[in-house]
Amino acid sequence: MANDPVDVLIIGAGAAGAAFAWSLSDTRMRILCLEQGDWMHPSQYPSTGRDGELRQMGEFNFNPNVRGRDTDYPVNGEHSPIAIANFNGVGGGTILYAAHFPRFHPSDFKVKSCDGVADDWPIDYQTLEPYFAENDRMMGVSGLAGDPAYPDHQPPLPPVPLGKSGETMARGFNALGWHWWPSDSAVVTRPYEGRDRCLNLGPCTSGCAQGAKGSTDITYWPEAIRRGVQLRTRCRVREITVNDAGMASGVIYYDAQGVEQFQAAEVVVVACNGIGTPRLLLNSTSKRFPNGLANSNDQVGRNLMLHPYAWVMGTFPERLDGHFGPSGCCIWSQEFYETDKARGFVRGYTMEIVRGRGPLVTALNGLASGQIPWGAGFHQAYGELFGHTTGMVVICEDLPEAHNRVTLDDRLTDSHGVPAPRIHYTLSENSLRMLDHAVARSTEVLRAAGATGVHFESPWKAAGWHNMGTARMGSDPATSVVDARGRAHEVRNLFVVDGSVFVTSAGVNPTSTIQALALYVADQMKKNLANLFD
Amino acid sequence: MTHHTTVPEASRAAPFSEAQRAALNRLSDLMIPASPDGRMPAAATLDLYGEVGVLSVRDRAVFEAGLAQIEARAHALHGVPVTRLADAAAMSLIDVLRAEGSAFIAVFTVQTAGRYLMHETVMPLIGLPPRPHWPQGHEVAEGDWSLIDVVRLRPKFFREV
Repeated sequence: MANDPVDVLIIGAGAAGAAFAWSLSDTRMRILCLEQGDWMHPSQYPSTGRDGELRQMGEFNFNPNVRGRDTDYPVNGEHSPIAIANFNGVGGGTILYAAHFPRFHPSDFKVKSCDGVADDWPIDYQTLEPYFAENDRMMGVSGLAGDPAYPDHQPPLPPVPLGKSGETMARGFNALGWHWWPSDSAVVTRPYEGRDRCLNLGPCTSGCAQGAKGSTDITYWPEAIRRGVQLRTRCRVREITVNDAGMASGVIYYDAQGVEQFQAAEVVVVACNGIGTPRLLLNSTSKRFPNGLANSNDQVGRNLMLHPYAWVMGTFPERLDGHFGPSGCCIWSQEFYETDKARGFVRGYTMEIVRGRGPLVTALNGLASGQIPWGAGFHQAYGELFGHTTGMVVICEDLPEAHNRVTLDDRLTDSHGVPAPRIHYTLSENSLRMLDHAVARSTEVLRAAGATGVHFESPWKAAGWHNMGTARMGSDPATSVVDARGRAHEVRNLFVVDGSVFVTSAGVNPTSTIQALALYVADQMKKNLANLFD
Repeated sequence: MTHHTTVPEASRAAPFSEAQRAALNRLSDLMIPASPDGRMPAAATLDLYGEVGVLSVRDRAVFEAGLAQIEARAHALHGVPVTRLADAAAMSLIDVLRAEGSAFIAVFTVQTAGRYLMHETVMPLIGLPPRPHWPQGHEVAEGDWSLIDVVRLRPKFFREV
């Protein structure tokens, strides 16, 4: 594998890196992506075996510290109430995500103007709208036009089924007069672009053996590679190097054999997510950037946003769908999305109905909560829960705070000896109030839907899927890391395209917006090639 | 060159010893006995630990250490191996370990529940076909889409900026 210089070097083959590579692949540039993980093999996903739920809790666990693959890096989360979740491989987080695909709202880009908190983004919804639509087509998004909570948009495929769970909850929302709508889901409900339809395998969050879920290893990457992009797996980048002019000159990485390599590049694009990106920048120290690349203002790693989640589950007398269907995608409610200061907090949240739990998760949740005992009462208690639960996760907007940050751990490293990230994160008073409100309203709608029992976890400790804000976008070089086109203020040929650049987090899953941003930054690069480094 | 992720797993590791299997079956029986009506089998009758199964290297080590600890305590407290403890004494020992935050009890609970509920004998008894989800998949009803009519009537309520 020759390390001939390339025009564009992308680090990370996940949601953003894939979209960016694909967009840029219609140029004549030499494009290379380095990914520390592997290609996935859908025939080995947990849903191909009866023991799938056990495998989901081990080698397919969200938490890299539990998963422990040699392609993972550890994360020190001792100083955070929420554990970081991710996946390292071609497809990145989209391998294990639920495929919920909401867009940010227009107001999410103007939080300071709307509510006097955080900051406004230097771009807006209208700017991203065509990229949202293009991304929906590429990922294969199912949904229903006409949602009153959103500006008009037309998902390319019909929505996922309501099932008994969705129907039950819809009746509850209607009884209260609250909003609900079928979730925009990156799950194809009809054959689409060479992918077969969803077979309701159950938990999408352990990889989709059917290929119905839109992970970028089966959406963007095959097309990008066909168009000439080179993707090298098992290549772990240690640091980005700079030349005497303060420009990025390439990267030092470890190849599949663990041999240190140098790859030269004209442009370096970082797409390692909100934890991996600041880790890499902070590890990239030099005489010119002793505190990490593009970090003279000490902003890299700060303003970490994680989306505080509440998990609220109801028990129903009748049998529901159990865990069949796209488990994370059903219907959502944005009744409490936009700010109403009478609630005691600013910003808001989305309720996402998540159908039922699998047989093992049902048992473990019941055992942990005391609903299921060891011994003689096991079977009766289990029978009253399994197939009889449905509920929601509530995803709360997290506001940026400088003290919530990613730093480098002084002892923990990955298998190549590269310092691991350490998380410092606390929940704000605003987030705690929002979570309390969300649990109360979720309980209310579950009761209205007929639930006879309600259990919850708030904040949900395992739910650190959405890592945002740690290399944020802004017009002011003193308070942000990249500009409105994703270019580092301090390094004219360094770009960041993942959730790190988010200025605020919204109250929805970020993947759709991450990818729309990546497509937008790529488009801006293509339009400004002649003066890219000005 | 195509590389495949190396997952630390113990599936190719040595099976549990006869003594370990006996102890695990005894503990499994405490956790999931047969149902009173006899419809659901006891975990012990299914020999859930006859194969190593889906068990990481790390969890296998937890099992080894945990089983050694529980045997030592059974001997120290009652002078017999765990397989010969009466139900009340065995549960008391489990409760003590649980109160101490035993990693073994945590991993054992996950493994036993998983192996039991995904056993081909048990799956039909809890309403599941005894097969993997893929490739056959499952049917999910579309549901009553007329429920959305009332929501459609609602004016747009996202915040204009």
